[in-house]
Amino acid sequence: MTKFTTPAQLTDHVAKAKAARDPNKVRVSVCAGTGCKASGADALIAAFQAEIEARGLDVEVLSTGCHGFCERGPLVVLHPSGVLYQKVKPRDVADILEKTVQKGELLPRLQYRDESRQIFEKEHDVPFYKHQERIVFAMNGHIDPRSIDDYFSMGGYEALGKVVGQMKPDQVVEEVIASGLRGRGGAGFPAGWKWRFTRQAEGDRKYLICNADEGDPGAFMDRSVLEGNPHLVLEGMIIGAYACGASEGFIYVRNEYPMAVRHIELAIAKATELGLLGQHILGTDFSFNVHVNRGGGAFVCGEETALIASIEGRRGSPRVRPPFPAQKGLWGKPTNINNVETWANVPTIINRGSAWFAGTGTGDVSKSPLGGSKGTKIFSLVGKVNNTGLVEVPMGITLRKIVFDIGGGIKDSKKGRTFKAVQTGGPSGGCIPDAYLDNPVDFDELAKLGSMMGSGGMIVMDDRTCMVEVARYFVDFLKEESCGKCTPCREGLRAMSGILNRMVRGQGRHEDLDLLEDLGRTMKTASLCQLGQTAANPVLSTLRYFRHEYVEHVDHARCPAGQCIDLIEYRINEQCTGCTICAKKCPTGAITGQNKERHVLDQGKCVRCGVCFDVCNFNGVSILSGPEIAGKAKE
Amino acid sequence: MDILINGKKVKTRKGEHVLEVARREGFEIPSLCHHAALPPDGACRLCLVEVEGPEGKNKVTTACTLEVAQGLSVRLDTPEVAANRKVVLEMLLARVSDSPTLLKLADKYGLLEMRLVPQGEKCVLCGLCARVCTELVGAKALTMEGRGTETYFQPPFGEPAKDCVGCGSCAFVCPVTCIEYKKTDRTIEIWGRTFERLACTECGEPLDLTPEHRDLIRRRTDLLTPAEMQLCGGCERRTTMKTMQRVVEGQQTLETARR
Amino acid sequence: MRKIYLVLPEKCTGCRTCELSCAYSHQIDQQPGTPRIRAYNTKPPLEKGIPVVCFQCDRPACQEVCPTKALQRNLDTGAISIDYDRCINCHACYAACPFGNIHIDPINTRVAKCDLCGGSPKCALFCPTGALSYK
Repeated sequence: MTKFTTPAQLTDHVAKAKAARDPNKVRVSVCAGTGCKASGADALIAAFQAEIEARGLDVEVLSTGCHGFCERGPLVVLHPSGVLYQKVKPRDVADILEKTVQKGELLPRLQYRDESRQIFEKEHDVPFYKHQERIVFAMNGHIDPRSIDDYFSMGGYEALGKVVGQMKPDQVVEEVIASGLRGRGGAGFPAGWKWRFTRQAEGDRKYLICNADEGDPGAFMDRSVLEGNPHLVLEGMIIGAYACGASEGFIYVRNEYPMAVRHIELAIAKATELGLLGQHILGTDFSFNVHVNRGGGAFVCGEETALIASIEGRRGSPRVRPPFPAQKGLWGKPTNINNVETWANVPTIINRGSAWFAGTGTGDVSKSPLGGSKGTKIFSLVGKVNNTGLVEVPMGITLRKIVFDIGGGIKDSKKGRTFKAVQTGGPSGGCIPDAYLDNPVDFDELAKLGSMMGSGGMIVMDDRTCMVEVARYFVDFLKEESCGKCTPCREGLRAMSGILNRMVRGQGRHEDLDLLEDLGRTMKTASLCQLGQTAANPVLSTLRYFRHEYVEHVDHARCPAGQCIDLIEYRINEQCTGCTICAKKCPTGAITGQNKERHVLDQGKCVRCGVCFDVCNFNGVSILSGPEIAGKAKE
Repeated sequence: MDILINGKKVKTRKGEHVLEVARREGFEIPSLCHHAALPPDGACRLCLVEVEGPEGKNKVTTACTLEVAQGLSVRLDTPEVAANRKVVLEMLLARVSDSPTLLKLADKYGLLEMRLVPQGEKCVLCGLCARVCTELVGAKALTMEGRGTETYFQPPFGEPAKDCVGCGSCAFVCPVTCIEYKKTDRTIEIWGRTFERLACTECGEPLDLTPEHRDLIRRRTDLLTPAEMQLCGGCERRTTMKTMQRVVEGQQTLETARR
Repeated sequence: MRKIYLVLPEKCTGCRTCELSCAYSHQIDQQPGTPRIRAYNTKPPLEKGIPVVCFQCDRPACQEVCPTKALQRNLDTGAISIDYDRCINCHACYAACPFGNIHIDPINTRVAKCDLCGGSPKCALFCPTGALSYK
């Protein structure tokens, strides 16, 4: 393929590539995202290729980006039928090709079943996928992220051709503003406004940054987008550069994401080769180059001013805004910085129009993009739910729908586990209790509940999760990840960590509760950057909704959830059937007993790992805490 | 451009920040990390003020980083400011419990009770030492190391400061005087280094000048020779006096005396 | 017209009233500061005094080496004066001045120099012989 020298050439090429893609061609799409790779996707792909060749079949094996349902990986989807197989091993390959591909028979052993053992045949029928709406992830699962031709065949770079060929930069900015697209990185600032500020700012050079410094524990949506569809992000950035007047772009991605780095570098090389990047893009005066910057994995570098400092080669510490990056950013020049997911939304907005995009979501953005939340959002759904993974849902969907329909409800609900809270927004987000499960999920609603959208982490907690411990965990994480510059964030987190660590050991004092609130309020008001201003959220939101758990900890040294190991004791109760499983699984040999007799637990040896509780099928293990321990001991 | 501070109309120039304006006008605002010769940093968060917003939506922010703007109105002692400043002060005092600077501030701003566990640190992490060293002196001997609660200002890797010139500016600007700076007749000790003190080439009196600092100063101007820099003030003045005497006695003209 | 600070050594008797008045007009915590002017008694045959005070040079070395721009010329008086809010006490100006007219105050170890008392130099005011004048 040669360089495109006019927008029309590109548009033609994409149209031809789209028409040439045969929808009825048999394709085996194997997820080769990081999750599935870890469960053996590479061997599986090799097995498919070898077997297809051996059998002489006309079947294409696609090594695709993340499908999202990582828990069930490696995932295989057969096109065009849409049959989904999960947890596939290389030894299943021959069966799949012979029975399903050649004869059309299904293999029940590889099919997805929900908790009630019901089988789902097609990918789009599986509840995990059924309630999703995919804009950013639309192509994941259909293309090989390393192939620009695959991207062309799905209509890729159509938007770029349209923008460069037919639209003025201001028109592009207005289109993005009209779409209501808000930044997906956390704060939810209207992307189009940022573009406009950068465009209007004075400067001989302007820069563009893609923030791929995803730092929230358990969150991996940016990673999956970059790994699974790098050209989509790149196309969004090129369009953004055209609109903002930027000549140089940077993708700041953490070095812990080697595949993302590899794929985006490949995409940049290919796009440059075809004249979609570099000097005189598509034969016009518009020039734009993109560089990849690898970050060292500091959480605070996700904050835009810290990220800019890091690219400049300085210490990743946030600075005071204003001036905002749009006025004075990288090397003092106007800089537009958006998150991976934000960039990935842009081509679709251009292709399908702002009105179409604004058709999904909440509120009314016709007057201001702050009037609502539009489009979709990818969440990283993890914790105590049956189906974990990445889910892309329309803005305004209820938490209940995400947790119970897509997530398939609470894990071990048969054993009596129930929903307690969902933590959104990463470490500095907040915990939302069941009373608000039917609230719509969007930027403003989550903020009202004392949490935030963040970059899309969503951790589901059940009744065995202690909220004091949750707060302690996140505060300890942030205590280490704060940049250490400003007093309220650094010293506030240190003080909170001390108090919470005391509390989970049963050494809390009642006045600590007021102190925590006092510290939290000042951290929120007086901290320098967003990290500090939101760092108290895990504490403040759990204090707001679960204050009784704190009170139990400080007043009675009791952990109601039975999780804080210093405050609990495991006891084997009269329900014990003497099945011996707990004795076999106990790692310290603390449990003894004869077959069919009630077992005994030696408290001196018990390390309170909870394995006995988890394995017991007869509710024969109880967790005591606080005064119950003393009361029971007297019996 | 006029702004209002506690309701009083005050004249400002574009680009100024509220802290400097307020202090010029005689208002008192506490702060640790501010220095007139450095751009604002906003690290200590003590200089909180309340900005009056539309519809009573006021916002507490730091005066050092708040640029003046048309129609700006700030209040220095609202309950919101006082409460938050007190907690920030409490945090700082928990970190460095024995600093007279902080104890004086605690007294002044009504912090009567300490609820936090003392940390026994010496440094408040205002960052002035490193900023002065890097941005003003130009030695770049100090840096902010570590992260979170394990943050320190020190020479890179905590080793003796390779690029230090022993000028002592860091110790001078430190608001809690926690930088050890020791002067003997012959040496200056700081940041794990021992510097030689240059002696006056006339009388031998030790100068507050190290060879490293002398070389750094000479880079800022082409006027000086090392010999000129190595005289003490007294000997320099005696030379000046003698020159003047020669002029008065007519042995030398004013023109040649001016070198 | 800007006034001129004039030194006429031939009129000086070395009485050091100038030093005294300078010290008292630059007090630190109610203690006299270090005098920014020094009057020396010369040796025979010409037995008299010579006052040494800042020349307020056209191109001042002290100003050029100051890393904080704390030394600036006061446009009203023409004096180079120190902005103590900006000064970081690095003593670079002390090392730079070739005439010995930057002093270090022993009370607070801060640098000090003649600032023409902001427009009314006390040394000239109190000089009994007319060796120092400001007009």
